[in-house]
Amino acid sequence: MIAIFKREMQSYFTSPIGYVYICAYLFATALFFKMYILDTGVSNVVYFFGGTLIIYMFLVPILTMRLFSEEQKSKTDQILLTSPVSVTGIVLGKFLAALSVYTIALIPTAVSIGFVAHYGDVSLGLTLGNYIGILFLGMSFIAIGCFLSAVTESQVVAAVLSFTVLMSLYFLDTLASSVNSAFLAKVVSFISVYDRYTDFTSGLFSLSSIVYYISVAVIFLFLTIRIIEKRRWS
Amino acid sequence: MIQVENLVKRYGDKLAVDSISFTVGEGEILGFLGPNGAGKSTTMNILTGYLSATSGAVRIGGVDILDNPIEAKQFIGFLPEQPPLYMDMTVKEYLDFVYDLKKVKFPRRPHINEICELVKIKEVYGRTIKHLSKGYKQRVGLAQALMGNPPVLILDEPTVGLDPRQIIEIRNLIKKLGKNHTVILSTHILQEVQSVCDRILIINKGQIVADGNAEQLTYKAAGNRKLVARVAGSKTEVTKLLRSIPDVLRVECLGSREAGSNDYLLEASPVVDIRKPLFRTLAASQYPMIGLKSMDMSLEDMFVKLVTEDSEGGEAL
Repeated sequence: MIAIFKREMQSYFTSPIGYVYICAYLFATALFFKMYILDTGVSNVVYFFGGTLIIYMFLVPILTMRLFSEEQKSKTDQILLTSPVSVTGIVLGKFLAALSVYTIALIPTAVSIGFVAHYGDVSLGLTLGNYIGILFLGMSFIAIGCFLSAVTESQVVAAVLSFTVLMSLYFLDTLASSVNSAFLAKVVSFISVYDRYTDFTSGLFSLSSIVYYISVAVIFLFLTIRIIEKRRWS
Repeated sequence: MIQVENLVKRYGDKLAVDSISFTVGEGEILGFLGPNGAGKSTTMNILTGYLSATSGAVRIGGVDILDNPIEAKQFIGFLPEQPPLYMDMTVKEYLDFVYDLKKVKFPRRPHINEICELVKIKEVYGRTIKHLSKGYKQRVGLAQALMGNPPVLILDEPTVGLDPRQIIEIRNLIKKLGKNHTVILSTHILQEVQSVCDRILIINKGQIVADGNAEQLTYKAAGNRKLVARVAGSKTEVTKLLRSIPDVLRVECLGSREAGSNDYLLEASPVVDIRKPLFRTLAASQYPMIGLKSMDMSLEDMFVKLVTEDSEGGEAL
């Protein structure tokens, strides 16, 4: 698993993908920072974090599209699957590499928050809560991306599929508020990935939301493992 | 070292491997020979654990590849048909990765160095893999298979795409490795199996149609021993004389290729050698024999015969 993780990290930064992701992320967060904090002159970081959520559905697919599809296409999966490592190890190594790049990209945003804290009032608890929320949200998004990368040989197809799924999840929220049935609304908002995040923005450290995000990640990683194992039987 | 029992692989309706069984002993170099699509690669992919068999069992060093894949895979070095190379890595980065991936126990630098010297890739060690020539890529692929010095090497068409000098180098390397490794290699180049392998398995349509070393196989397939003799003198007289030799089953005059002489095809049972009686008989009657050629079947003829026989529904060996 460690070997896979190391290679994947190396690959993110020898190919442009790692840099493209981090730059795009920083550029987008900088825009939101200007809009929500500099322009309004309000030091409420919650708006800023809430706003940045939309970025991930565009960017996480970039991070995950290559992970499994490319191995299949270039047949390098043959060395992975004939080496003494488990499929779980392979999947986890790749997942953790993507999560690491995702986390690295978050670090510079803390500088902006520190800048606001210097001039205004920023709740440390709220900021920390948001970072934790973003991290767990990222876990579930990356796991979904991993799964969709494993179903196809094409990076582009994997990216488009991931983007479509993440975007649909985003619109699930809007759907929840427009359905008539109270029960259905409840179901929709229960499975809504973004809705869950509002707990963190309001400073609530919600254990159930964390469990939810971890569950989504575990389910999709499990499905990824199954799909790779199943391919050998086809 | 390798035991394969009733291996079956089905892709949908298509039977790619049809109940293959064989064993490979320690230190043996086994050649898989067969036309394209015969099931060579599929069988190799199953042996290495990349694909799962529909039914049947594979044991490597006594360990079942399905029940205990991680342990069994430690015994195997595999070079697939297309070398599994990460194009954006340098040779050094790639070999370091493989070293980590295979959890090699030997000290890192000396072990990698040794392999690089063996497959002669020292001079491209710092280069990015995508810029290497096909021959070098193939050798990096071979280096990957040798990492950790596994006792079993499975090489799928290891000399494809190499120039003639490189082919000879790689064949010599395989022979050298065969002294202390069990090697299975697949190829459709007949000279390759003849020059490298101790034993040959011919596969056609997912079935083993022949198993043995090159001499055994050609001997088996050849049927009667055939000789062509060029004898000076009268055609009718010589034919009569040749027919009189005991053990000669058939005599056929092939016509004249050299002035004053005729070529005769002689067939005899494979268990007797008719060359000495042939010489004595002709010498005694003052007919000089000016040429003698054995028409034994080459491995190539045998291969074509086996593969076509089978597809015509004929009887396989």
